[in-house]
Amino acid sequence: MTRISARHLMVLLMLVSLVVWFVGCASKPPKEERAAAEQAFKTAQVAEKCAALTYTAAENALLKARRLTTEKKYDEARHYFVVAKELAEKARREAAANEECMNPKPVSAGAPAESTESEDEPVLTGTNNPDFELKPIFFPFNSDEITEEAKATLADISAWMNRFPDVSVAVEGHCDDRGSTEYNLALGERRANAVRKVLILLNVNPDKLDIVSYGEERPLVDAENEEAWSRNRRAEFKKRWNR
Amino acid sequence: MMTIKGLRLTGYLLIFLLLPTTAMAQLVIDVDPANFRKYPVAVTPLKNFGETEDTAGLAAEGQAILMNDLAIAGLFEVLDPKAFLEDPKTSGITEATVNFTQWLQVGAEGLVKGGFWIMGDRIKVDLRLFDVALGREMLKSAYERDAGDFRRMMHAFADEIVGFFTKEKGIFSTRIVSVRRVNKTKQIYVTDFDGNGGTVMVDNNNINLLPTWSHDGNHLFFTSYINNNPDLYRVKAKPGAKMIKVSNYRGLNVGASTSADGQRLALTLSKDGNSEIYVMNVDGSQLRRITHSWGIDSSPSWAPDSKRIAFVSDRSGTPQIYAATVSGDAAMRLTFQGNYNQSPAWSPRGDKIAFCGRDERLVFDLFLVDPDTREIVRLTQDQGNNEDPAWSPDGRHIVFSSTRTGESKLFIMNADGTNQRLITKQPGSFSTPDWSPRLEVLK
Repeated sequence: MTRISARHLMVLLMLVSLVVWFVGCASKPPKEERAAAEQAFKTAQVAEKCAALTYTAAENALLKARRLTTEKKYDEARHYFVVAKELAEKARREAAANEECMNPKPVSAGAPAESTESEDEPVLTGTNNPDFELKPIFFPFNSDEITEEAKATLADISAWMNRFPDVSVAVEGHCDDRGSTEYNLALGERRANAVRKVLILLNVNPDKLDIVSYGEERPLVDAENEEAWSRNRRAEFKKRWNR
Repeated sequence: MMTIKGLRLTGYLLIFLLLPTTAMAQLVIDVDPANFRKYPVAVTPLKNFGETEDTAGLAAEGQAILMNDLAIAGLFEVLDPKAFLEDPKTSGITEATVNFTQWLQVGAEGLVKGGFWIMGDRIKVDLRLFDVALGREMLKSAYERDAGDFRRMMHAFADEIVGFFTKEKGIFSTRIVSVRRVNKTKQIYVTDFDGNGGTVMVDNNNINLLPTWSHDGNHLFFTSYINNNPDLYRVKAKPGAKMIKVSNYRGLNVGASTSADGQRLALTLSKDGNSEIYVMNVDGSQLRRITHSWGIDSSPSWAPDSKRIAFVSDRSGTPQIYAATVSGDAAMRLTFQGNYNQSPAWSPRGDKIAFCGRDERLVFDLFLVDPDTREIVRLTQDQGNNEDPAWSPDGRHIVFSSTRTGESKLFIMNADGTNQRLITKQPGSFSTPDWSPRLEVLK
């Protein structure tokens, strides 16, 4: 009992010192943090492909921090610069660990060069195209688990959505046709919700995300076999421009 | 007379006596299903007594409808007309004009006969049931209706016959609503209980789902995506009726089940971020949440006492059947075998809940669970996937969907799993049937 109280006290002390620290720094642009974050992010570019999810999270945090700086919300901005820096470093570590991805077999020529690159914002290949294709993600049987592959897709979608604030996305949850109509409607809803939660974690504005479950009603592949079922257990993304 | 009749019939019909009157109750001595023997009954072609020629073949059609109804009832052994000895030309439909010895010889103990008169757009029928051994008329009904109601008149007499033997009318004046898939759209589709008379009730070039009857059979509830969200609607049970919105909360508004007293709807909503069971008045007012779990809660089905609800929940990790009271007491888990149990349907008699379970071979089949003892009985096996059970209003039959013939079609069976037969006669894929209450079609 006393040990727990001591621990509580420590946590409280830490919280207090954090608040004091925040107050102390209030209303000054977070120049140092920004420089550190930008530097870390540039160094982490190598991770764009090989640790896509973390990289995108870093990118989103950085974009948000920049926006907050422009809005003169310095305390929040500082927080996000720190987060961005940590995420960028993490992405670089993850990428370094992903040898298969870092040393790929030679493939075709690289992506077309970007000409609209500005000083402040790094190039965002693919997801800077308003017509970026939102690919479906797939789920295991009777599950709303977001697989590693799906996370990479969601990272791209979040980057794209953060890039284009005028776009809303409807997340559609779908199921294979085994099991009851009613249960599958609930399962599809749960899948769409799980996707929405991940996108929000990736800094997508919740107001830009709608969900709808179609249960087993709109199969991608109209057949009764393992391959068809695995393709039908999915979330699809529908764009809507609010211009 | 009553005693003699009772004695003769109880031998066959003991286990079907639902609510025996005091007079009959004394005769129910041995309620042992093993002793149950179906009552052998013969149905002759109807006789045309009128002036107008029977160009439509009503004589044979009437016989076929009555034979089919009695076979579905599960109480009768319907005899093959090929074995009949009687000369249809010389015999009549009265005690005096029937040679009962000939019927005894073919093994009939009951005999159904009838005649009709075609009178322009109208048809009059006279239908009778005889006890062969006694040589006595036991039941007689006459109807006169539009020619289009010919089938219904036959069903009405079959209802009377079942009522005569069991004290509870048959379920032949009922209809079945289901979803019919047409390309990418889904229609709300209604047929008679035997699959005849298919009618598209709702077709809006969109997805319409999970239709159920109101407690009086006058309305249908269903979910439609017509407004891009699965919202709940109500229509009069007539083709092309206007859709009236009942519930359009954000997210799911699905699986409406009407309480037996007709007062309330149970349904699944996900407006609070997770699918949960709610109860509301039939007009959508007085919404109340029944379940509170992190998992999926769906597919509510009322008990006949209008106090309890069976539903599906995966709060234990896999979908299982639960029951809860409407007052919100703790839900009770009913199924413990299998890891994928869904689609509960509480019997109108209250003593069983039908559900769909996936067995160890990953095949979907139908089962019963006793809500008190939790004892499980299997109803289907080795015949494709069998899903979506729904009860007939007397609790003696179950309609369900099955893939045993390829595409999903509707079948009916007795509540013990026997007497399974295809009822769908129309092309297309059919699912999620619901059986209407008894309809007063001849009113």
